[in-house]
Amino acid sequence: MKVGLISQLSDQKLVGHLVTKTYFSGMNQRAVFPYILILLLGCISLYGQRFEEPLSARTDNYDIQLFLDTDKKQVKANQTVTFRNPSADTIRTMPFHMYYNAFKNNRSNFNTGYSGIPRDIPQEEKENGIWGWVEVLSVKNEQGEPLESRYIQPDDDNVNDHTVLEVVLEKPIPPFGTKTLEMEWHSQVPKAKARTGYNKDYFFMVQWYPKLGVYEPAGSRFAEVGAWNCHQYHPSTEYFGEFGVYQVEVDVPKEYVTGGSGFVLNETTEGDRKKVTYLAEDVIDFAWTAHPGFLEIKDEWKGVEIKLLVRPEHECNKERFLLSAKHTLDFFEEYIEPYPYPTLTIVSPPFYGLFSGAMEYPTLITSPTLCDLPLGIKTTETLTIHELTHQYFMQMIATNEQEEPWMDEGFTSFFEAKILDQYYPEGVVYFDYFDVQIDATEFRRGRFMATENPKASALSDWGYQTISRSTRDIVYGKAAVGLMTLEGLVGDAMMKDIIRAYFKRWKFKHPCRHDFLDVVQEVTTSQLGDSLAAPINTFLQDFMYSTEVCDYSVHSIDNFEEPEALGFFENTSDVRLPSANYQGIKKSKVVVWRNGEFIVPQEIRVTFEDGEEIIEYWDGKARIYEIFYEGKSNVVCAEMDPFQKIPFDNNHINNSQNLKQEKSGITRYFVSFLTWLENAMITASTLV
Amino acid sequence: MIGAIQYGLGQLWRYKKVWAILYVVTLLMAVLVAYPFKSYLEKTLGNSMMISDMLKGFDYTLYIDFVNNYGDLFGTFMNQSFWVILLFLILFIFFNGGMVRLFLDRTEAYDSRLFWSNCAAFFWKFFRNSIYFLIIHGIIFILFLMIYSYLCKGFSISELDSEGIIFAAPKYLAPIYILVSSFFFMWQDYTKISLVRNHYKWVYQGMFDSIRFIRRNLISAWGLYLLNMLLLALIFTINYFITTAFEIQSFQTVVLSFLFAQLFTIARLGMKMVNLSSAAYWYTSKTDSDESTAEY
Ligand SMILES: [Zn+2]
Repeated sequence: MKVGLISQLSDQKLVGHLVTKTYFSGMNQRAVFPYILILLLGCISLYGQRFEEPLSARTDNYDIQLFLDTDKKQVKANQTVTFRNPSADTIRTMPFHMYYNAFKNNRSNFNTGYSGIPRDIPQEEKENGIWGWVEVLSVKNEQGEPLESRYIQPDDDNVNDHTVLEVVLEKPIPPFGTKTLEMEWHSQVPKAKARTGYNKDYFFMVQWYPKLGVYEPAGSRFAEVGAWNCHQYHPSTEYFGEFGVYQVEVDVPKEYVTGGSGFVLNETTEGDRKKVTYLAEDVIDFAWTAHPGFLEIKDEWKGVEIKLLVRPEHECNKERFLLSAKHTLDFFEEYIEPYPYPTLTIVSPPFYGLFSGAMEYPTLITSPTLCDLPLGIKTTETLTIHELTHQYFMQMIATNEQEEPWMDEGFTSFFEAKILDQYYPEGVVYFDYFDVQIDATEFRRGRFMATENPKASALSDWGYQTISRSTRDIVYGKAAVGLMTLEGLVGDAMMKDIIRAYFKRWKFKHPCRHDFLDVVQEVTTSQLGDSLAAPINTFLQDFMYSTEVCDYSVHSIDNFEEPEALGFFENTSDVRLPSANYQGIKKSKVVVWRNGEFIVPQEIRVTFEDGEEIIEYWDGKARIYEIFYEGKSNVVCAEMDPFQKIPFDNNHINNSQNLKQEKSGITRYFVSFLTWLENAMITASTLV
Repeated sequence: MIGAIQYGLGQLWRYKKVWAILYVVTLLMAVLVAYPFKSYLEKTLGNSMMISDMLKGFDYTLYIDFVNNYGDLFGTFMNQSFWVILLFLILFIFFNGGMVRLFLDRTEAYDSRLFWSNCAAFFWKFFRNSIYFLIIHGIIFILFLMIYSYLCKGFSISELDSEGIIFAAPKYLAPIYILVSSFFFMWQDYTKISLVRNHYKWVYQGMFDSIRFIRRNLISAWGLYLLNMLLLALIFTINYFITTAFEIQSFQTVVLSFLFAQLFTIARLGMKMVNLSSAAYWYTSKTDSDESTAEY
């Protein structure tokens, strides 16, 4: 019975492969086309959710059958990996990420420094339970011959780090050729580790299988020669994956509710177990979860099935999840293009499953919630919007998160703030009683500005090599604030053009920072011309490579009369002396400073006593810049960046000067502080 | 009990000079720190147009940029506030002696000499009393924290089935805590009264005497204390409605909010006096009647 089911699935699997291989290899297309068409149509009529045309190059493809032992917390699996060589290179090895081995010992790169085996846990758990690992039992080629494999360390010489396994091929993969490996492996699921593992009866299975690296042909991203990109697992950064098709059959106890990337192809129950088969097309990874306590709430957005897996105690927030997800999908449909996948799964983990964090995986995201949080704190919405945005920046634009984490987190944070401010104008934190109202854009900026060391690293620094605690704020915050500033410089419409052009060119591919810079350069140059585009591109270069800060200030405002001409002029005999009825010309001077190394063009709004306003433009390059006026009424105030286009400026307080001190605001703070102190004293006096 | 509170309110009015002294001291000490804070704000951002954001209330960007660029002295003000609060506690211990004496002697009018001399006379005894009760309050508080932590399995994310208990427990624990701790605060007050009334040499004698008194009059004494707390809660509620009733948008509204805040401060100080004087009244009326019963 079991064999029959698998063979039935393998037939479908074979169909998938045939389609995949034929599409990619480009060989003999005419001959097999009618068959493909029939088979493809068959698939469509069966499931209705497969893509008619592949969206990506489908380079790394997986068929996995796995058995989850929920008692031992172990997985046994068979996986078929089909790799298409995307280059003209001959490839001799295939490296696999073995992420679970990060938790195998306390000498792995990920676990270095981990010393804590809690004393109060059972002996059994001390010996087995707290360590996680994955072990490949066998690798065979198409002919069923075993292949050799060994752990390698591409990033350093830490031989105790077993997070990359290299399979040595007996026959190299020819240019644009295909290789299929049959692998058998098992794993110990780690207990509540970074994003993955189990706790009690909750399993969140990510980075859970031997995952093939990304082969980068010469000329792509930073590759000068064709090579595998397969870093070890580092604690500070996330992942990088190749596009492909995943067909995964999950065998779990039947009371477990499951969720996974892609859509459910088939589900059968046998005895006390059930098998759920997922198909995820044109994705860079596959994630799944199993937990008996989940409620499955279904909704729909323009043909996309939204599935919310949530515990009963968090069901109260279901509308917050679903609405924020739909807002995000609406936003991107208009801003870039519609979400292309047939499903979206939102996993809201149980409280004891918070280790799975808020995280993004293809068509599946996690977003924790607490029903007792006040309505004025928009954490649920923020996390849902953020993780869902990653479907565009991480999944469809599959940048390398280990090397350039800002390219997914920065873009995502930029859009997260944009979406929140559009759909939740009341702010992400608001408390009426305390007059607190913080919108998403300023919240994002503030978190970066408040970081311990904003100069700790440049965005261009390799993510997995950065060590500062501020890295996270830089990768998320600096990048987002930089993009907001870019938008401020080019305007909303051109920013949209830039993002659209970038997305159109790079969707389902792997761009790097140069590719984004090229798009900006092209769009700005074509719309503004060389000279106007130049400062924008200078800004972007600095933003990417420099660690300097941006700070401009209004230094002074002077209103004065030009003194009378005194002394000798035409000759040395007729001296000009002060006249009794001299009427000097009224002049004004506004002085602005550039305090940081960072250069951004500036607008300065100068307001005169008679109410007149003038907007001045300055290239922002000089250290000191003076603006003179003659024959006007007195300047009363001057303000740099009056329309808040440059959130990158790290001090908005010194951006303006007002000669007429308007002290009500300060008096209010004085009164608040005074009242607070009085009340604190009286409250404390209860103790005595 | 209502009578005791009425009496306390009467005493408050009779000794309004003490009330005024308490308020002026509170205000002056707060101004001591708050005024330099104002000058500091004027110096750092007095000319910035962002001041208009301050009028609206809390502005996150202003806060972040202020702390980042001018925040060096911010900690100093917080530090100073701490020391001012500590100084205020010591002064309040000092005033307690004089207040209790006035409330017990029920002089016709405020007697300045009597007040100040008793402030000084009972300072050290009251100081020790405060230390002992601080320890007791601390133990009670820690005990409740431990119960809370026990209920929440040490706040261990991996042990708890859900976060529900973390939010649910305070809803039950907080009222119980208020009830239990109010007993000890009441005991502290009666110890002060007993120390002044009975001229005990040692603080523990006052503590024993007052706990005997509370044991004999548990319901009424505790009831009176809780009634006083209820009155204070009423004042807080009124303050909440007043402060949320109008938006601060101009200098005039800032001044108005200042005046309301001062009324609130004055009311809170008044309630402290009412609480103490009603307890003193209750103590004397009950112990006098006990003594008279004993004579028969
Ligand atoms: Zn993210």
